[in-house]
Amino acid sequence: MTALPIQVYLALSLSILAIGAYILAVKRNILRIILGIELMISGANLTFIIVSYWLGNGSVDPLIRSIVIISMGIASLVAALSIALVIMIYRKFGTRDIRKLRKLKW
Amino acid sequence: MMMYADLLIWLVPVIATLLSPIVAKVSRNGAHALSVSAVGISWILALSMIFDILSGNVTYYPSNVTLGSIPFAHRIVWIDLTSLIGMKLSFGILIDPFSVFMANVVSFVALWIFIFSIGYMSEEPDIGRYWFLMNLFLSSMLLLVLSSNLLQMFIAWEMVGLCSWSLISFWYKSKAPSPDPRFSTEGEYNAHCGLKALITTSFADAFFLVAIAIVGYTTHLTMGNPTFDFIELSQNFSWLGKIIQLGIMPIFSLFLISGPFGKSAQFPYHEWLPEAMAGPTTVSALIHAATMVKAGAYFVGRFFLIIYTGATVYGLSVPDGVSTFFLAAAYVGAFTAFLAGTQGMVAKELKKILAYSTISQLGYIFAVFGIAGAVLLEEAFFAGALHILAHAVFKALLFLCAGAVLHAVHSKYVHDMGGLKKYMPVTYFTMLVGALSLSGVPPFAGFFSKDLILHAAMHFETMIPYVLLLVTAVITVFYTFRMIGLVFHGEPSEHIKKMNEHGHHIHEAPLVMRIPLIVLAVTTIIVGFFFEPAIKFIAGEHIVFEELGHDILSFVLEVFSSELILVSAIVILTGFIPAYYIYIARKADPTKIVESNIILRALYKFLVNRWYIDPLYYKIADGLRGFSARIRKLQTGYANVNIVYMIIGFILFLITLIFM
Amino acid sequence: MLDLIVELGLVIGIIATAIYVAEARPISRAIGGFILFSVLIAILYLYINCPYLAGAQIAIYSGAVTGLFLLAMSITKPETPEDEAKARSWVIAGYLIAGFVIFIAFFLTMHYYMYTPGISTEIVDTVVNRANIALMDLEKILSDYLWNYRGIDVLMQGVIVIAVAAGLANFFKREKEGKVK
Repeated sequence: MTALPIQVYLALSLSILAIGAYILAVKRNILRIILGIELMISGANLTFIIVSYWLGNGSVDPLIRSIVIISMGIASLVAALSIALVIMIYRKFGTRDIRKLRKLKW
Repeated sequence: MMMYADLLIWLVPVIATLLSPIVAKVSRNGAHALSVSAVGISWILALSMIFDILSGNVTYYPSNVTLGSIPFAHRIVWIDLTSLIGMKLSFGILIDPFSVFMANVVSFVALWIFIFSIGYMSEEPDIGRYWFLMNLFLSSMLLLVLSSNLLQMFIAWEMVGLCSWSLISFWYKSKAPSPDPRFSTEGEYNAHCGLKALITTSFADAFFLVAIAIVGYTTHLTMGNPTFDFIELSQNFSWLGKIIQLGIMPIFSLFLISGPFGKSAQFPYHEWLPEAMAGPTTVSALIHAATMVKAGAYFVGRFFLIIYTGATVYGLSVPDGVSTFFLAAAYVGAFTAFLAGTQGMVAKELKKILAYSTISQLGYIFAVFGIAGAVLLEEAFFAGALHILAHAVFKALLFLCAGAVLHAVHSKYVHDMGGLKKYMPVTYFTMLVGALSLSGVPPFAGFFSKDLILHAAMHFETMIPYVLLLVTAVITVFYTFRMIGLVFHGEPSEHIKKMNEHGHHIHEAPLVMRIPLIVLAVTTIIVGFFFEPAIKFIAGEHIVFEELGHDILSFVLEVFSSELILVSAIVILTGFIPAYYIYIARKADPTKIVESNIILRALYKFLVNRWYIDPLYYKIADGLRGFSARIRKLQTGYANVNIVYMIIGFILFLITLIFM
Repeated sequence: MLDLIVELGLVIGIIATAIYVAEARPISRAIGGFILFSVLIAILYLYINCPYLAGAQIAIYSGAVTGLFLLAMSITKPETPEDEAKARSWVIAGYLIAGFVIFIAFFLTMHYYMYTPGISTEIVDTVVNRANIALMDLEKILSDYLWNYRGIDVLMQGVIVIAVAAGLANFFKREKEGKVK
């Protein structure tokens, strides 16, 4: 088991998620928002591993490891598609600021 | 009946519907011929169904294949989910005296209205859409009255609502100035009227659908398989017992009656019918006088027949709470009759007077069907069914005459007309026949049916409906002859004088419009005498043709010798004398009479504003619209804000998950 | 004592790097910070004895995702030469560190397992067996589920294919010049 109490690591993953959410909610640049999404996914993966480490008393369950690898694969997929969208948005609207893309309003 | 008549009767108008837009582009007269022949074929097929009722067996002629005995439901299985949830949805046609009666009324009146609209819509460029919608309406209405189960009837119910909306807003592209200050063009006003009708009836139908779902659910619980079939519902009343056991009987009754109230424009859904007069007059005649608004009354009668055949033919005991449905129909119907009658006394547009009259007469039918169900009185049911027939005929006649007048005068306000008696004699005479029938003057059809209604109303537990209906009869006579006097008697108005100066002379309606008027007038005169055979027909008894004359004579003598004819005479005179004095002989000025008395002035203001119910509805609608406009601002369009909403939602979800 | 320092350093480093990603002004620096972030997370995974996860983390995040971001940046913004050079140097540094860490990690793990006598592999064996059984069950459950819902599955895939095709068609459609209805 780790030297620091396990709650520190749970707090770590929660703070990564919180920082990722902060980036999503506040920042303007689309690329930074995608970075925030990746951050959140990393945080979620970390939560899986930390909890499994805690419950498994020092070893991580292989099933959980497989799930996390699949999750990382999906994260790369999300990043790829959203980057493609960003490129198209830049071509069409000439901006990387999501506050300028406002058509879905009342 | 003729071969496959029960399926062809509504299938032929569907074919006419599909072909109308195409044929109308090719040849105008071709479209006219197509629609009139479709409705003519429907009428002949409906007539052929009468023989089945008379003989007691449903047979196809000429192949002489017997399908079954009356009442017969010709069912075709549509969705078979027996393996999954044990339910079978069938498409069915019910051959039953009441449905065949209604089918005949609908197709007969529709035939003459279609012929009339050849002349009325002669200058209309969009005739393909008109015939499409009218034929679609006719087929849905026939499907409604002939359908054998509740779900199919509801589907046809919604289809007639759809056609009604499209036909009311028929002239939505009109650029003439709007009569209502809220809209900029007349086209917008017409579209608004159509939408008002659609929304009101859809709101009422939502409750109706819930009631139908309750029927399906309780039949599923008690009888194993959910069924909506009318015959099966009358054979086993355990579903009614289950509803009472679940404690939802009052809600069920109110929801079930909400649909007929909405469709037939009874209180509180009565506001759409006066506005529906924005459509063409033939549409008003067909849909809002003779057929669609009778659909609600038809359903109340059908529900009465379910209860009554269950009680008498199958010997079941009627559970107690069922009378809530009929009591609601009776009281609300009588009240609406009075409400609409008072509004008709002060209406300023010709078609609006007839619209209020329609609501009022439908109130009569609802009241008497309610009385029939509450005390299980068969005589009241016959009175209601016969008033459906009589009202359809004379109201269609009145609307068509109004159409002829509107066509000639080019204005819909009744104060723009006057003295038309010498210009349009045929229209005057036929409208007078219709008015006499509506007022209940013997020997027209309206007299007999109103007499039967009042006679049946005396058997009710309280006298409230009877008194309301009697007072409404006086008011009916008054506003009817007010209408006749303002339109046909007296001096021509300023509007007509201006038209004559400009060279547009008022002329009699063309022949194609005159013939339906004459036919309907003759029908109104004759059909009253055939009420006794009609009663026997609806009751399913055997009619012997040799005794027909004897039946008619005995019926007439019986009616004329009862004490009610004295009451009717007093009622007619009470209503007629003021109307004659003010409007026909023009010996007094109504505005001066109202202005001089403060009570009359307040009463007039109250009635002209339609009892302030309509403004109340608009205030509620405006409040809702303002509320939704304010809520709409939550949708800013910024992605960051949406993400914040998502996070908030997710946190709420987590809290729910943890603490519940 | 040493492990306490390492863990504390890791935790603080991760949080600091994440905040740097959020707040760095030029986006290239944020991406550099992201590389560092994923490397630190990988080191944490290594500390918890999941070498494969660490490798996957670095390969995917520092590798693929970062590559995509750089692609996006180069297409969407004309970089000044100084910015480009600086960004490239960050990336190269990150890759070098990452590769080094992975190598050390694998070497240490294999060394540990091969050369430590008498280590009880019992826990590992039971965990592995349980995982195999669970995976077989999972396989059966998954295949049953997919077989039972194969109709809907094919339907959904068809819907996705059609949606992608429509998107592609829209993507390649030429805009009509100035044609307003």
